[in-house]
Amino acid sequence: MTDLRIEGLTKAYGPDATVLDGLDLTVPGGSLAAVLGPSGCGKTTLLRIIAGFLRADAGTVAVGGRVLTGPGAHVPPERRRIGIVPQEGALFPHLSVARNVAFGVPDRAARRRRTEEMLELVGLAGYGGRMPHELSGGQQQRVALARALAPEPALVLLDEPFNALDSALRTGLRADVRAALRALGATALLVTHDQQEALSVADLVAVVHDGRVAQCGSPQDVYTRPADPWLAGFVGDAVLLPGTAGNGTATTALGPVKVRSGETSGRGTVILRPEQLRLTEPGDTTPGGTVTDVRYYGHDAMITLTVDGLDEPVDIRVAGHVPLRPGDRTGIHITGQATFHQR
Amino acid sequence: MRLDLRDNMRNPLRRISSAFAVVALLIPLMTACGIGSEAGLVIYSGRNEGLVKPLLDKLEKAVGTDVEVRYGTSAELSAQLLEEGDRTKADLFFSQDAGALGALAKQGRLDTLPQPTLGRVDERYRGSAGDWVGLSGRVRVLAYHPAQVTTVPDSVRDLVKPEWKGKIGYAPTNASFQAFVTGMRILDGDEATRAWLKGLKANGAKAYDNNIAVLDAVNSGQVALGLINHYYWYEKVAEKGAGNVTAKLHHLPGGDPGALINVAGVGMLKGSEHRATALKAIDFLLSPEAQHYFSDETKEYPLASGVTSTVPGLPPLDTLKAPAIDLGRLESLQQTLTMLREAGMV
Amino acid sequence: MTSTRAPWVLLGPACLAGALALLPLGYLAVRALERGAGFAWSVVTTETTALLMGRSLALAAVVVPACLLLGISLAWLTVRTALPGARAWAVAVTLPLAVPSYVAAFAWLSAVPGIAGFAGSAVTLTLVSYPYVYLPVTAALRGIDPAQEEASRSLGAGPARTFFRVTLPQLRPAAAGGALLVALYALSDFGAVSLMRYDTFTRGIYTSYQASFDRTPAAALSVVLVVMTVALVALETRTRGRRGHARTGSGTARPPVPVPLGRTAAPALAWCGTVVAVAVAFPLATLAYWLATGNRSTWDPAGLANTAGVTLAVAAAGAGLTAALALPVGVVAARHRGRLPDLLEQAAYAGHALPGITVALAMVFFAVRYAAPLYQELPLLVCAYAVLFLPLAVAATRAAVLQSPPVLEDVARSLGRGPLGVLRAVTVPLAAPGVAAGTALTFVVCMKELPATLLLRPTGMDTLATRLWTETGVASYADAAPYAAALILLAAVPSYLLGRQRT
Repeated sequence: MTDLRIEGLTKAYGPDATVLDGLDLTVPGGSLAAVLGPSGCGKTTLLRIIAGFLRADAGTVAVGGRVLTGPGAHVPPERRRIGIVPQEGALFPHLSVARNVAFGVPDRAARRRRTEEMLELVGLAGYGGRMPHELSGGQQQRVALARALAPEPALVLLDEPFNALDSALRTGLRADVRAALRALGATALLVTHDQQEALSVADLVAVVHDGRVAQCGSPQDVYTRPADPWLAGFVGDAVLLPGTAGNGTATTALGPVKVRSGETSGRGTVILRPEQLRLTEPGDTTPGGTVTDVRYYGHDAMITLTVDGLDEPVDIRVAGHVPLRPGDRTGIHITGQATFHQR
Repeated sequence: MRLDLRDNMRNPLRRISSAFAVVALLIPLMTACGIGSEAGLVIYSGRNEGLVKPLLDKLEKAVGTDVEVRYGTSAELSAQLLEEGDRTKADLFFSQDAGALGALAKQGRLDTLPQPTLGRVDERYRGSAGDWVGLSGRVRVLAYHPAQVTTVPDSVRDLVKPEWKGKIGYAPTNASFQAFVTGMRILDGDEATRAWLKGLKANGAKAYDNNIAVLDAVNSGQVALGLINHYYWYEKVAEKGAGNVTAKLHHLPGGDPGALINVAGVGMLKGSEHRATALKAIDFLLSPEAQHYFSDETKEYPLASGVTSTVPGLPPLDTLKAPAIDLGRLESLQQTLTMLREAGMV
Repeated sequence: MTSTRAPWVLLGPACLAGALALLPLGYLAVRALERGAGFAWSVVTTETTALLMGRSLALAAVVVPACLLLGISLAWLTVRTALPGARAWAVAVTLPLAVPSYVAAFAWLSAVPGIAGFAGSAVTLTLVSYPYVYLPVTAALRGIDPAQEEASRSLGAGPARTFFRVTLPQLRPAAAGGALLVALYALSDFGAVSLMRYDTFTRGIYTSYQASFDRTPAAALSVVLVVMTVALVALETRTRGRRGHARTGSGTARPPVPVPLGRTAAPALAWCGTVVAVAVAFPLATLAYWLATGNRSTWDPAGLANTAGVTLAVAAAGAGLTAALALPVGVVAARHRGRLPDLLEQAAYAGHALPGITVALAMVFFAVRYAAPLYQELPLLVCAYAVLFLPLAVAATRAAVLQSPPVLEDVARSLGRGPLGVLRAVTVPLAAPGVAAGTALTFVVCMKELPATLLLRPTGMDTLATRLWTETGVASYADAAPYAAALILLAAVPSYLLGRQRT
């Protein structure tokens, strides 16, 4: 198993256009890491540097201990053993599915067998003779994955591979891709701006912001313990409340809440997830607010309220039945623990 | 994937491009096989292939070795010869006009010919340094429509007079006409020539594409007088019979510029590796056989002494009163063209 | 757009092609400065030079807009409207490519002698060169997403407004590229203008060789022509900007619904018919007339077939070499940015506006000195074709490469192919139709080429064009007609394929 180590990676396109600013990232062998970031955060640049299409200004990229990009070293893309699955697949339109998959397999003798194995792995056995334009979008992506995996790469890069697909197809394909990568024990890096995708697929999520990894951890870690309010807002919906912390508890307009890191104290921001807020009967002593909007998603719903004593509205996610309408008064109750971010 | 190449797979262009590749590879091979047959004599011919090829085939037999001929225009070939310099493969330059030979002579690219060869051509028709000889001559003449002209003028200088207003045809883009103007500049000076050209234009002279068109215009009476080379008339007569050609020819007397004799000639390149053969070839070109070929085929004057044209009605060369100028100087055409342009003729 | 440096396997050959294309400039520098810069300057700064330049530019200023009008209108009619028989028209309007400018000029002169001069030159050059605009614009029209035009219509713009505000701006790069080629054609043409007796700059250069037997003024004048070319190329590059042409967004664009012509169908048909009649049928009819009135005794089918074979072979070799040299230049120009790639692309144009005789003399100059064994052998002639016609193939290659997304090449690299392997396995196969189109175009112009062929051909070799020249030199045009007809018919085959191809 090969791990990916990135240290101090820096890339600028001009004096005022620093895209990567000393980025560090380690992905253990065999795991699937998601690089999550907003558009323009440098994740595409990162991917292109790892793949060897771009040269870095500084820093190193090593896969399995082999330095691919580093001071004075630049291994050309074709000798990196890094497979990529681009957006929309980018299958070679002039080659059949089988020849696409076989494209990177150097061993002629093994080519045919390997191609069949890979197509079977991605659930497209028997499609070898088709041309790319005869496949659906999802099938094209599967072929692209098979093609990237066929040469047994040390690392697979997936560049927003599910972007162009409709949501129903996306979920199934994500699971299949994950299963295929697992089956081969491949180390993989998925670049995406979709936090749901990152959280649901990856073993490890690295959020990139301003050219650095702002936070890196398991999906649950990143979701429940955002390192700062921006991260909280980027990785999912967040409720940010001004508060004062002390003795493991923070006081907010919605009442007291336990905070995770006990030592913090003073004024700051209390970070919660909308599903941590519950609706209660309105009362004079309990914190409460007025419903301004209800958005119904089917499996759950989001309710927006204005809270007495707060400038910003607050979102609450409720499962199932929505008992309220805009204009109704309701009480609010906080459950679980919050993350406190000192100002 | 959005690129749809179904059409491309069937695209015939694609197959064609592979065909290109194959042919492109084959060609150098084909030429490689052709190399090795080193010619015994290389001639650059500014005279047209259709005209001189039969003659040069005979020449090949006469000199007894392989003869290679490159055809082109005299001007382009002379530029090419100058560019090739002493690395040229050419042994002989066979030029349509004296000017191109004069240009090569001026740059010292032509070798002096032996006296016996030079001696066979009147010195008016050869290079002043003895480095080229004329082979055939063409004479500028006035063609006239007998019904429209009672007294044919005896000098082109008269053509600017009012009595000829709108009655003259000429071919300003034709090289022979331009050579005639150059000759006039040498004889009369630039000022007089410029004035004459402007006068001719102002006199309503009609410009035609070429000498044939001028002659046709005289024949049909569109114009009364035409400035042409003599052989166009004789060719027309040979083609249609004397009775069917209305136009008559007038040779201008007294060394008038309008009676210029220009020549096609040949020179030997300096550094020729086949001098003996080259000289033999020149001698062949001056032989009665070759000289008669010119006069028969083109109705030009044979220039070798002792050879007279058999074209019926052609006045003997030595009876003509051509202006005395060094033909090599006809290379100075540039100024002539500027004048023609100024006069609005070309 | 990939911002990495171009790999040496591409840059090397591209530089080689650039160097070859720049050979004439080296020669011109030597010749023009032979008698000192002062002399060259005095040649260039005469009133005559200014006059000739003005006349050349005037010709280009008329021919280019006329070609744009013809090329764009015909492209739109054949690609986007319900023109009856659109496919057949698409082929027919491409055929003028096969007509050499001197044949067209002669046909016009024999029918309308009064047309000689500026008008005749402009008409002839327009009718033989508008396909240079028509072909790229056709390709660009097919690439435009009809959804944009629909959006424009839904925003209240009528068909005309939509065409001028939405469609036309997108055609600009293609039309500008074609206009550049037309402009260079108009500047460098000798055949038509000399028959039409219209003095242009190029004719001035020829007369300079012919009249003074002096290469220095001709070279100095040629330098001016190169400067004009560079200015035009720079102008075209500016209109092109930095944008890529590859369609963004996903999914195959829907084929556009042809615009119904309604009552305008008749005028549209008349327009296409008129163009085809005057640009194709008319010269062919003139040739047919010559053939019919010609002297049968000179009719030599075996010789004609042989010459045709040689012409095809030489033109194929020329087109092959040109395409091979254009490939690296085109790929570098499409995929890489920077001073060297820009320079390489511009260098490709250096020889294109020069008269054939100048390029030929440059090849003579270098070959007799540095490559004597090649002199007056086919490879040298083929090289001259490449110098003359490189831009045609470079433009086609560049456009073809731009049509496929660069990510395909990235993927191929990541799968273990080196730059050369990527070129072979992905870039070239994908660009093949466009490259083949450029090759076919080069093939056609090689077949028609005369001045360089005359000077550089192996001794004794004849092409249809040189044969045509020989025959018109001795006798009537009737004897030349079979060669002219054969030339047009043979050149019509690749032209036909160009008109038919749908990229």
